Amino acid sequence: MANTVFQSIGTILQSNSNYGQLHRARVSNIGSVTSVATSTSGYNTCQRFPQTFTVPTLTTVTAAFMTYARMLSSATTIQGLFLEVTGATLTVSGNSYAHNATTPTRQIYGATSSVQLTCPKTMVYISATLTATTPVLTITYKNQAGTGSRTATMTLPTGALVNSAFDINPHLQSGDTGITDITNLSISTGSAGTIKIVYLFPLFMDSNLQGIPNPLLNSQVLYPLLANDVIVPYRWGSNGTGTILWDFTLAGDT
Amino acid sequence: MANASSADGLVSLIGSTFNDQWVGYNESTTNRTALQSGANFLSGQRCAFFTFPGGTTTPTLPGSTSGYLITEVTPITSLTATWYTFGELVKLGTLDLNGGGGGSFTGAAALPTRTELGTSNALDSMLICEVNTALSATPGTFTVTGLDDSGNSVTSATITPANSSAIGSASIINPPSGSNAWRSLTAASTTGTGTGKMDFWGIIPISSHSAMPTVSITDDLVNNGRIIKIGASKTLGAFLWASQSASATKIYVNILGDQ
Repeated sequence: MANTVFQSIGTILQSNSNYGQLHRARVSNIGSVTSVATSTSGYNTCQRFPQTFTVPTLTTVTAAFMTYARMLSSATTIQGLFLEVTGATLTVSGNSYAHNATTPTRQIYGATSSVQLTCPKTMVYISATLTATTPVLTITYKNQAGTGSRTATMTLPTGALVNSAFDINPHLQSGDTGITDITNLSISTGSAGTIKIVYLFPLFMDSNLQGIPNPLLNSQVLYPLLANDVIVPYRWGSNGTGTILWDFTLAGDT
Repeated sequence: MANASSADGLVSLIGSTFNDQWVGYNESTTNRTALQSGANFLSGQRCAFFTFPGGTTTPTLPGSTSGYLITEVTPITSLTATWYTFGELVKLGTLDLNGGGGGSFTGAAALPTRTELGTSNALDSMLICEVNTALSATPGTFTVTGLDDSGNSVTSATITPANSSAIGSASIINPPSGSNAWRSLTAASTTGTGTGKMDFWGIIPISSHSAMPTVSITDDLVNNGRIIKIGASKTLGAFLWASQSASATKIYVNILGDQ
């Protein structure tokens, strides 16, 4: 994971010559409307698309980087591809919390070894529609410094619908800029549905019908991808039914 | 020997091997049909067919080369605010309505296995359907079954194409719940009657981009981090999405010999 790919056009060519790039075209769709965010639930309406891509087994290379991506959305939206890691799950019936994972460790920012990532965009993802009237969700987390017992409180829409996603970051405690772990979840009311807290690490973002930006040319954090990592499309600015077409390339790193 | 494993090597290929431009083209003087309507379906039309000396697939490789490097792709279309997907097409099968009785399905190839990131993988793709022969007024609901991206054989999905859909109309069939993409098709049938044929395609993408009549946008693949090398006997094609209007489109593809 030393990022031998993003050194020059020559190193990208060399990576392809040695290992072969991975190219995929995918479509993801949402067939029923999702819920609208409010000032108590992330502000910006967001949708998580259910069709994803899982990075295959890596045997010769140690990691992969996204070097090319394009996205088309059926609505006027901002959309992106993200490395998604599930941090915690709340089963509303019984108010039952389960820990899934901390944020992953990766070698980034030119570091000489892997570090635990601070998630810049942690989301509440409704993986099964809720039966709950304006439920208050309390998220207990560790912040960017690893300090625990921090809390974020959000009031979700009544009956929040599957595939809705709500941004936690606007509701972090004062002074906090990100999350490294979820240590508890609880909901004030409700009888059915499932909530997941997911860590998103941006690989590519775009506005609709631009089709021009590429990870290679964007000045953004380049996250190395490992086997079984899951890439998921999200979009902001619509709660309607919709489609996203996505086309991307991964290059091998050693 | 020049080769495509360095920037200098790529430049030297221009001088030491061949470079060429392939052009794909299609025009429709009448509107295509929105095969599926609704925001959660993406419909469009076939916008480019590629022909080469001797046939419709990429030609025999010149001596001393082992592949064609695609360096740039430039679309020009008469439509506004559209988006194209250009790539290597793999026909997964054809359904002939054949007068009813479920129709007649002819299977074709699966998406190939290729070395990616140092490992041999079975490729997968979104599933594109294209009207090969105009559909009757009662085409019915099509059900397709095949292998999904995990190799599961139980996946099936449906599409109800618009009645009397015109040749060249195209759409993407959404994956069934729990699946993300397709490797191959094993069966297809329809509840409809009458005549018409639907082709089903997988695609190995080469370029996706916005396309418009007044601005020529070149997708500079190498400098954007996508290295594409393809061999002989491959079918290339492109689809425009989000418009069925009568149109003309050209896709210019710059290539180099790879060594």
